[in-house]
Amino acid sequence: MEGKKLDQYFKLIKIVTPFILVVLGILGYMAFYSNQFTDVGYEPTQPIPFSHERHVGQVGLSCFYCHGNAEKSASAGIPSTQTCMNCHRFIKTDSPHIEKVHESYNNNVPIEWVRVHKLGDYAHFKHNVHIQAGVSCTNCHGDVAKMNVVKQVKPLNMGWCLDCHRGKTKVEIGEWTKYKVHGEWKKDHQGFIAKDKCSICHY
Amino acid sequence: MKTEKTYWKSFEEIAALSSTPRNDNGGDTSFDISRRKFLSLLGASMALATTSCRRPIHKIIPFVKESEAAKPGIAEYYASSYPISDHSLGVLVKTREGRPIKIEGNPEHPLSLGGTNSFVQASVLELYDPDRLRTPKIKNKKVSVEEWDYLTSSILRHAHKEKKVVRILTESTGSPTLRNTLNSFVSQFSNAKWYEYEPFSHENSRAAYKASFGKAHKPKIHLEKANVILSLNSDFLGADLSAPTYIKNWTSKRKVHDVSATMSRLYAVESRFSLTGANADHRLALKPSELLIFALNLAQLLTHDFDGKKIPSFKHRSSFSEEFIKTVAEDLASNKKKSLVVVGDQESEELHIVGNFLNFILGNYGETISRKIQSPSFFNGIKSMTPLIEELEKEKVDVLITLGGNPVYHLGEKFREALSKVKESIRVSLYEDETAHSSTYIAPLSHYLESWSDQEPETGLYSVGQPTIQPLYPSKSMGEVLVLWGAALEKKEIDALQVWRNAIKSYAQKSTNTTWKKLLHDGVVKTDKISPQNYEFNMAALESTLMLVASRAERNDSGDDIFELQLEPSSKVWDGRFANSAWLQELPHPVTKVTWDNVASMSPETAKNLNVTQENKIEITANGASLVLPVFIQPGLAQNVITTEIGYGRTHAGSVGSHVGVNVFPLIQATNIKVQKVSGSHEVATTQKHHDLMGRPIIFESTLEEYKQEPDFPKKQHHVPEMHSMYKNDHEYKGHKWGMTIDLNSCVGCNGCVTACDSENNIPVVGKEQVLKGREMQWMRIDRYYDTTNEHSPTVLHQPMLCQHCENAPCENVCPVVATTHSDEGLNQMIYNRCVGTRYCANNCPYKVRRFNFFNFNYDMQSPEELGKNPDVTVRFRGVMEKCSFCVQRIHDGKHAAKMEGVSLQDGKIKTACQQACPAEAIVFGDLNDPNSSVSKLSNLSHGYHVLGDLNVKPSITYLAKVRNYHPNLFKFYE
Repeated sequence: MEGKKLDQYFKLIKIVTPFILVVLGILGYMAFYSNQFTDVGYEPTQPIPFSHERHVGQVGLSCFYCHGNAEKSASAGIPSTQTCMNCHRFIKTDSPHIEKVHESYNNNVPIEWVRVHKLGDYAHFKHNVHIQAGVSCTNCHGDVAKMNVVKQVKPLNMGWCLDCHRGKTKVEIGEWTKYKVHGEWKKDHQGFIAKDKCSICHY
Repeated sequence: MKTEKTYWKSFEEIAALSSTPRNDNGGDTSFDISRRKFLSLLGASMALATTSCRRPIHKIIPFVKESEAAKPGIAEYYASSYPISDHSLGVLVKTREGRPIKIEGNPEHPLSLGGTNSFVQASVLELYDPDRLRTPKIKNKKVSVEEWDYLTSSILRHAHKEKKVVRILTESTGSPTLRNTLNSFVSQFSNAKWYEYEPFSHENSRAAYKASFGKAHKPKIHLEKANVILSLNSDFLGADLSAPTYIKNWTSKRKVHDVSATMSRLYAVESRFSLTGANADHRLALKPSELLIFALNLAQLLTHDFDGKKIPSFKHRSSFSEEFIKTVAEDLASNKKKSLVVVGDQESEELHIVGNFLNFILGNYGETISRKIQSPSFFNGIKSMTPLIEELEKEKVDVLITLGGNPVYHLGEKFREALSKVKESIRVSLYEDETAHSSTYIAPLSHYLESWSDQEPETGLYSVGQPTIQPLYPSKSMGEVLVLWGAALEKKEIDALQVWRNAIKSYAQKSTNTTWKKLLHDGVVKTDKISPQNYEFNMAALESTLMLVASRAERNDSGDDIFELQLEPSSKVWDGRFANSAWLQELPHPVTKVTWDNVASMSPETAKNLNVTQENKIEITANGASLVLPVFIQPGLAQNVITTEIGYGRTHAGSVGSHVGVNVFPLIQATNIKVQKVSGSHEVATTQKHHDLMGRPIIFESTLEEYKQEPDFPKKQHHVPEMHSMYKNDHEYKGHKWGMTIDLNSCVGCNGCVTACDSENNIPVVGKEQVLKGREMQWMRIDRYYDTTNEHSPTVLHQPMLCQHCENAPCENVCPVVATTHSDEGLNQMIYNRCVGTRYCANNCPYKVRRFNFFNFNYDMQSPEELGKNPDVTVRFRGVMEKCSFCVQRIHDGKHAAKMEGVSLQDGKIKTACQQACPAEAIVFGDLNDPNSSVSKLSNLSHGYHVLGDLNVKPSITYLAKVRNYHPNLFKFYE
């Protein structure tokens, strides 16, 4: 009698458990892959409403004019006030926003930009290596030439990184900007397949 | 070896006192938290969990005007020189975003050739030490820099006008420009004098040279040219400021790669257990009072007569010591011009004279002792200080300026009282230390990484030091302060920094092909300022020594039952100046493996005589001072000799170093002491019992002769059967396969690598309590094994132990969350963000190299400590396992640099932090898949072996077994 009852319980568990697991999985996916969690769409207000659309899309500046470090270093860097002043010493000097730039330059007080793209401290990403491999900036940052205010468009989580590094997503080649400073963008892209390579990013 | 050896680490182990193995990482998980606190924390964490997870706003703050050098994410290296006392070492300072974060040896510097020691490595921690003096103070009140400058300048102007007595006391310096500056500053006054003081000086050695050869010199020694070396209580491989150079030179004659190899032989006669003794082929432990008699007897054996003069004969306690002295004499005599006798810097003038005599009759001058090149040495010991102390006691000094050093701690209460009587005492120092507390006007001193400097590490060789960061506080270097005061006396305005910069710049003209840029790049410039010396021994010096010995023999105060004290400079805190460096305090002593303490080391027989056991306390009385020290029993010390380290027991070192250990400076001149047991016990945090390998075959050694007959002796000594794995697919390594070799023959156990690893990998310091629980965090440890087969003289073997990056890693299989995995390049990866802290991996690691963050050791980091962290390595949180990563960040840097240049990776481009620091080049890292890489060649050597190879874990580290160069006559004692 006892054994029979136990059997019934086990049967029930057998049916219910996968169901619960699937539900938990879906919920987990919804939670951790939600835009809210990954910060997709994060569009903070910057101290100066700098428009990438204007500078990149219309004027046609290269990404590397301001973020030149991306070619050489792990971090792309934010341009110094000096870089802005190269043009804005003369251009649109009457704008109240440009005035802030002049103020920063003259008083030697840096402009505090709000960071949009940020990885966890335990993940080490290197811009230069990706550019060297021909990966276009748009792969991760989206088409900033069409963004008035820069926002995060990709989840920047590990699964998304691996989509490329497992060959699931086709990588856009850097042809798009045509503005690489040192030499040409690579035409072919051979990314490595990340298997057993945890310490490429985590150390 | 024919007979089976037993290696052991601690007396507890050999006596099997601890029948159960110590639980690794400590069994105790208690932490101080009350129930209330726990509930409130629980509530707070719940509240946090329910609030929004919206990420906090991060700011990016770029430069206003971009710097040419400091690019975010790119490391810049600057050549500089590290000054300590009158010595220096050439270094490369790695900076990130304008902050120095790691010090490496300068490969262009002929004395360091890339090697460093723990002091150099830890200097970056000193720069960011939150306890540094931050503002000028007058009578303990904070004042502005301008006010301080104005007041001190006016004091000096007044003293200048009124012709007052001005005395300057500095720590010793090897900087020619600083010495010139001091001399010219002093000459501005009518009654001013400059004294320099170091508690560990070359005073006795200089005096002996003056007596022996008429010249107070310190010629350079060439360990790389000597076949037979005798050390008389010298620790040139350990607690010596030139140790990196000496280690490099000595080990260059100790490398064994094939059967045609030759080795130098090192004999050590000493009254302590130094690192040099631990590395010697033959070692004889003596009482301090016996050293001189031993040396004289040896001299007599070599010369056969002393013009008929009698010397007291050396009392042999064993057949070993009888054979020892004969063998040393024989070996030295048959290696004339190729031998070297090195006497410890702190030894008496007489012993130095005998040492000089030995070197002279062996014809070593001009061969193993340079006639042309001098090592730096100045008149800077206690004898040089005597007139100043007298003047101070008689209250004759009006203004005393102390720059650097710490005379109150070194010279004790008497000096403090004398100093407090001085009308105007001005002090410039790095910390608000004991001397600063007794001075009226104190101001912060710039760290060497913040200032311009120059050094003359040997005749004709100049190295320059450049600042790598703006001073963190309103501080000035010694030179700047003097230049400013000097100008103030003449009522001039001057830019002191510019004066110094120009002084350094003038070195560019010293050599024809050196430009300013090249000078800054290389950090060194060599000139041909060489004047050959003639060293002719003056026998009168020896005669006076003989007379002294004879008079001592009459007094007969060196009986067997008299206790003798042997003090030594600390290999961790030196004379106490590094007491506030947590990395150095937590570093295990190279021989005793004691951390956070100085202990009274004694042999088991001595302990029996005193009726004490480990961690009892004894009271040592001498010179009217008495101190209580914890007992630490260790083999290899002569009977009734007690040794301890100087430099501990600081009272005003800072939050780390104050009241650590006992200040033994009051006993510094004492030899004969009274010792008695006192009640109480003191726990000593030693790491030698931790991470035990439980008697498995882990180290192999042989003699040079046996090696030549049997080059693959580790395989013969321990048979490793053919291995089969239950795993189907072994790892494939298509690209690189990283591996390492560690040469036990070159490794002297100096701890340089351990500190370098601390610095490179942001390793936290855990403190004495946690070390007692076995929770030290250093990724790398140097195991020290004793072998007491020869009962008269234990031998020691050092083995650096770190993650072996096994191919079949036992840790990987047991991780429930796959936080530790194997990479396709042979790395055993540790993924912190995945780790949940089960500690299964640490339990399953046969090498005991995994470390667990029991607490959030980085939690209460005080500004500006965080600036010194390596931004390329994650700072770990509580509950995370960590271990050696083979410096994976450096591997990536090397690979990426090659990729960016579009070239294939060259062997030797990637160096791990430990390899980079090692002055002996004992550690070699590289690609095992490349048959031409040096690591491949070395790991294929016949005497290479894997530690615990029979577990089939397939480690990536190959150890090259130890080969000793025993003398055939003494060999029988070791069988």
